[in-house]
Amino acid sequence: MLDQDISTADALRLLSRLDNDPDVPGPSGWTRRSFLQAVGMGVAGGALVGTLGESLIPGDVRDAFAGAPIGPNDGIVITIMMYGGNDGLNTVVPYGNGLYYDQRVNIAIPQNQVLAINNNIGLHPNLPYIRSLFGSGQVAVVQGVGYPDPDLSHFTSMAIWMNAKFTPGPASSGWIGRWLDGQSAAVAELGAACIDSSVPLHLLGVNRRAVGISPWGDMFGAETEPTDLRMYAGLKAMAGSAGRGQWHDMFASTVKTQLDLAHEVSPVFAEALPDNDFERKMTLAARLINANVGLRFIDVSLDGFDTHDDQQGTHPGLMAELDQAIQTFYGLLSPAFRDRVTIMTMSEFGRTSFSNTSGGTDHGTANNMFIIGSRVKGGLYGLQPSLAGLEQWDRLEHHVDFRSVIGTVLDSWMGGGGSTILSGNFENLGFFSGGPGAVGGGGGPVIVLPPAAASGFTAMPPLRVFDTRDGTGGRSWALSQAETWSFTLAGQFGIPSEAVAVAVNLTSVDATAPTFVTVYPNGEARPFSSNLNPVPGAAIPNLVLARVGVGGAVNIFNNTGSVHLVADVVGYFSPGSNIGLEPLSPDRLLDTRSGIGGFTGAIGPGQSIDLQVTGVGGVSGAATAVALNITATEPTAGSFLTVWPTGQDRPLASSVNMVPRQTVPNMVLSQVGAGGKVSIYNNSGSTHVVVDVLGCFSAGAPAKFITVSPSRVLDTREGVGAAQARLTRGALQLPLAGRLGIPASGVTAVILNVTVVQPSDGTFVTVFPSGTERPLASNLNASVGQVVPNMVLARLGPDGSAMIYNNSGDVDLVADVMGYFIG
Amino acid sequence: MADSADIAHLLRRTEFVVKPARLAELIALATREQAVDNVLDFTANGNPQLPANLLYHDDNNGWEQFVFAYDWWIDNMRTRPRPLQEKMTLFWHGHFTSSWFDGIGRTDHMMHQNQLYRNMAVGNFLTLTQAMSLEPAMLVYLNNADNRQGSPNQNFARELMELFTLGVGNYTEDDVEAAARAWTGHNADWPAYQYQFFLNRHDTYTKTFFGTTKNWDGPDIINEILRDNTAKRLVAARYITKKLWDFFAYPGGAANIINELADVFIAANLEIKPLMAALLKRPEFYSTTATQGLVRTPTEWLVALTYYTGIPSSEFGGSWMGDRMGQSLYNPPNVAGWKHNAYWMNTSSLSARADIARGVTWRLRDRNGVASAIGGFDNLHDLSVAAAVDYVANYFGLTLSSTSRNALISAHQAERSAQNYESWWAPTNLLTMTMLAPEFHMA
Repeated sequence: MLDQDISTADALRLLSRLDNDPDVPGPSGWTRRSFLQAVGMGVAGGALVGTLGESLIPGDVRDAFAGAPIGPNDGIVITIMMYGGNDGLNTVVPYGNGLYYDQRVNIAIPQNQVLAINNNIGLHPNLPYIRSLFGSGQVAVVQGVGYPDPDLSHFTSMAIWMNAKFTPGPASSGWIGRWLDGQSAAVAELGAACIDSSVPLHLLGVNRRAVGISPWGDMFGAETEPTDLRMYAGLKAMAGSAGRGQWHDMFASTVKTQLDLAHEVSPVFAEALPDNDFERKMTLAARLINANVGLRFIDVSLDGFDTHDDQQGTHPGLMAELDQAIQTFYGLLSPAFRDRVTIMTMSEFGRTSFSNTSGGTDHGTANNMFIIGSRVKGGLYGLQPSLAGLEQWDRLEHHVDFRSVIGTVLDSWMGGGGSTILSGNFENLGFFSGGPGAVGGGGGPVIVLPPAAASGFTAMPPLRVFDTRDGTGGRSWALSQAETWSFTLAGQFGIPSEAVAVAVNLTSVDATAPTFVTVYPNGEARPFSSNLNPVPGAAIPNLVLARVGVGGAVNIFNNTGSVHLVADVVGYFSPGSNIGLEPLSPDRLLDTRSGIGGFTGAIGPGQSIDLQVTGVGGVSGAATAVALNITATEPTAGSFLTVWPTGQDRPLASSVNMVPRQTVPNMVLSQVGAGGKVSIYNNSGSTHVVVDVLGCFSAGAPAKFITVSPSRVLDTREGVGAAQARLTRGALQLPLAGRLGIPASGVTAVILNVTVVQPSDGTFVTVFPSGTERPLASNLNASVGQVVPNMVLARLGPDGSAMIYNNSGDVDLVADVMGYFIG
Repeated sequence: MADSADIAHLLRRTEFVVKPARLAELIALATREQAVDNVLDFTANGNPQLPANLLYHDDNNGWEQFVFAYDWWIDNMRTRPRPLQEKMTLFWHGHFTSSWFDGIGRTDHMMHQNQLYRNMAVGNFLTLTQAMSLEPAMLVYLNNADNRQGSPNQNFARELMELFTLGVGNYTEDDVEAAARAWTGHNADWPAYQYQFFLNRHDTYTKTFFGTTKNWDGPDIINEILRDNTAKRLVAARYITKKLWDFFAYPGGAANIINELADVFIAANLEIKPLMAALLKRPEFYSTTATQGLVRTPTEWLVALTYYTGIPSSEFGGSWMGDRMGQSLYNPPNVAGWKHNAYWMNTSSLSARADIARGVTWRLRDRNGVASAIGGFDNLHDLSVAAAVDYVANYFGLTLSSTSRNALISAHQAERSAQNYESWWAPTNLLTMTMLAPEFHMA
């Protein structure tokens, strides 16, 4: 229930003291006159020139209105105003404190629901995304924030927060507005915006104010037809001094500003917006930043925190809205701005520690704030206020002045000026790890998706979802150097939107230079891992179990040169599926060189064979899909193999791509077809084929897949996961359980992408459980100097490790973990 | 004969628009004081009642009922013989706030409260405050509905003093706590949600309020503020007077104006009608500061627009557009109600006014409105450019400043020149532009 335009409320507060001399400072140093000026209440003439900026000064009308793009090291701040007084104790929960449970019996968050940060403090259960950001070091939780002599009126307290300046003098402005005052005209012109139907006090400066951008949709003034332009010109010509009083002139000049602004920001309304109010505002915020029209401050608000009653009926929903909208925001924010945005949350006060019998809480004092961003030095700041000795309506002590928080943001993120804007020096809390922009490179990942649910596998006949050579999937040009391409998988192609990972056979074609390709969840920062290592002159496939990110999409990054990519989906993992994995000791189902599997002799051009895969090699008769390692050897021509469920039409898809005389393995997931068979097709020339079964999927099998964001678990070049030394003939032990999010126990198998780097001799690599005999099967084959990756289903030995064996010469080995099976 | 400019100003402020018949009627009176008495005499309104379908809670069509209530009120403001009763109702709605969206969710409760404000629009302030405190909408909105002994809820007790009667600084936190306890047990029954006093939920222990220790009860608190404690009564009288002056005249009236009017208010035992009469008769009310002193609220603008065009609010989604303009009736943004003037003017809310102007333009064209006196909408072309501009301005009851008039003339000229003579863009855009001229938005 709090004000969107606090300015008059402040004036109201002082005006309520009717006998005061207008120039005697009131509480906290305001003078009545300054508030009269703030809202144009009757102080005639020039006094109005301050707050109401461009539109109140007769004749002072903008001629040009075009925000300049911001500089590469300019910071951006999003202020989230939580109006009504957010209950900080149910946002950042002191769940280790018994008094918390004593004092709010009817609304306390149970310990087992809290998203723990440490043994004492955790976040509201509906803040999983913010918790995940905290986990990756991108959230500063500032506790016990307040100010001296706290005021319990919504309006007065919010005004104090917005003004952020206690000393006598013109106090008709807010801290962001005064920041605008200190910028050049070019920067200030479109330097701050409020996405709402009014512009509140903190965005009003002495000489300037922020613009208001409608959250509802396109703004009047965005049309470009000549007749519309003539009408806009007519309306703009009404701006000026008409001799009809200040409001008349302000109205006309605001119409003019509105028309200019609409023209400037119209692109951000071009696409549909979410229904939820707050998510819509955060979506607009992301689009406005991506549009780079010069905005440095964007103010959004979430209302309804005045939870005097039935708090559990409303507060959890507000927490979820906050969390969801921030996740949405980061999903939309262009990577170019990731390291330039800081989000801060604010509320006029916290609430009483004691709840009332209405199941609510009353106006309180000290509160906590979230400061979020990739350059934020995550952690806990300040001090959780003590609950000891409190009685009903006693309020929490503050430990951090809110002006310290604002000052830190101004000085360490927005280019300085904090002491001027706040009229005083406040401690810099040091919650930034660096300044905005490209300095220092990288920055932390902006999004870390919450842990994915354990998921079962649903196999599909191979389906080509994109081919950048011919426009399948909507793109008909190669990925260029350093390009990241987002492609939506979940929610289309028969893949449900709840799918957490998609199994894709990804093939590179026509690479112009040796490069690597990384597939990772949309919204997350690109990990240091690779899925594919294309080289010129060869088509190279690899199975990718791609975790999908925001919007059901994956990002595909190409490092060097240009490369075409082809993707064939073979299935997906979703929480709703009960089809689990049964991992098997690798067993050879087919070797056309020796007749294993009943086929002897190379497969000729255009020929296919139907291979029995159930009831053999430990594969259950009920299996709906199999994981196979398929190796093409001694091919006579450049060709490809297609693997698909027997009985269905052969799809346009490739599973293994060969060049003459090279041995090429690839892991394949295939749906099982009629008669428990899969079909294998060779396109041209002739080739021998070797098939090893790695596991099978069947309904009720307990092991479900948990996808993780790709992360590097082994790199012998860097000393990651093993000594920094090339591996000679023999096996190295790779501990996996308990590392990089893989649980310490209960893991059935880990999905690794293993890459052999530049062997000194032609070799093969085999991955097998520690403590077992090395099987004869191979996972990778590589020639001298090649870089070859392959997906591996690595079973773990009793000590939680897998062994990686190199057959010949010496090699570097790299492994990225993609997920694991558990249960 | 009363001065026509003064009467036009009085009517704009008290009756939303200057209807020619009312202007003539009041000018014919001997003095503007008599005109003030006329606008304050609600006899001609009879005893306005709510439509039957707003008297009960329509659980299945809650939104439709709300929209109907919205459009009904806009229409009522436009059509009442003495619209000041509705404008006072709007004032009390923005003062003793409750919100349909924020907690109430029932049109019948909002309308019951609305009807109280209508019936007591210029009645006794103490009686009104007492009645307001027991309205279901207020009980729910500010949580007295479940304010109980042992764990009192401060919401109503605080806002009663901070926003409804005294203003910040005229009470202490101890007074808030005492008042909250005094209001315990003044709840609502369930499921009817009508006011009911529950003695077993009421705190009967002594409390110290404004320095007096006794067993205070909720209504005693209001009596203390507005009747028994003469110092507080003076503060309250000035507080309300100031707010009325800001609403009807201009923000920031001089202390002597407020104090003298508050004295009238107190002498009349807080009867509102004598206060309003005195206020509207002050010479300062007719000063340039006053005549240029206010911006039309979104609601007032909607009323004016519907009056001049004959297109009812229901036809262009007034309830939705009101929200976009920053004023959704029955839904003040918070317990402090709406702010005014500069509050209505920002790039976001004016975008909504522009969208309405555009929408109303299409409807005027569909009906061939505006141009009936000249035989058809497109016959605006038969007038000279300047005459067409003046014709449309007059249609909306506007006296244009030379800045606005020149802007309209040159834009209309440009449109006529750019298009062929019969093009309908020229009159269309002239209508939209005139609806967005600042003159149309000043009260």
